[in-house]
Amino acid sequence: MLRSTLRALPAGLLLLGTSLAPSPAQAEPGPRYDDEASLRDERLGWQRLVKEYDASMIQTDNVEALDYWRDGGDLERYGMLSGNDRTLRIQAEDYAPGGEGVGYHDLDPNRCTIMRVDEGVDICSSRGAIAVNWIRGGEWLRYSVDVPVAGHSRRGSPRRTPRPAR
Amino acid sequence: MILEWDGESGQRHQVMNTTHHGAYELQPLETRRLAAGTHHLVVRMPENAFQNFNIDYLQLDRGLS
Repeated sequence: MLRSTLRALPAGLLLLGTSLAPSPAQAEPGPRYDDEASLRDERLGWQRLVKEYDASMIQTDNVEALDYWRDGGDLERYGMLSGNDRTLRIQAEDYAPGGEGVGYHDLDPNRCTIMRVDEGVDICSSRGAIAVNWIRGGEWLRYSVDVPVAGHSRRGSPRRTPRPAR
Repeated sequence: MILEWDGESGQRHQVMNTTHHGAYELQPLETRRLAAGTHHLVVRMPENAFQNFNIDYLQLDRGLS
């Protein structure tokens, strides 16, 4: 429904909504064009809206990223330091192999696992971002990190998303 | 959360609010010197702390020193 509606609109379209995807009740089969997915691959979001649907305005939580992309920036490097090997990014879902008690410790039932489905960690599509969700006290994740060049590193969890009461 | 590098327990960090589970932001946590090579990192959630956040990825930015 969303797709047909967008195609019916003229160029110069105004898009409203934080997420570029329809709500679950409106969802139709096929790919979603989520805001966060744009940060993984422009073809999953913003590029499709601009190229396919002639969108000229996009509402987003990621204003700086959208501006960076409009200026020709490579979204795969958005948020990274310039220069080779200065930023190392570790996807949360890429914890060590070995299963429960080795690569991770998980305490609650899976709710939305889309990867590593035989394991206990909740790996979910969070508005297009593939992320570890439903984290609970007492749980842990183990990572093997290959550092190519010695140095002082500032570590962050850029994709943390707390919200009260869930 | 607590970061344990190569078996050494680190300091505790509070995860800040971003307004929504689908709104992701970078949160700088700490600075440490890492030698070249393979390191083992455990991201541990304290049992006695309320946990309500998602993690997309971890990032290490190398400084000049």
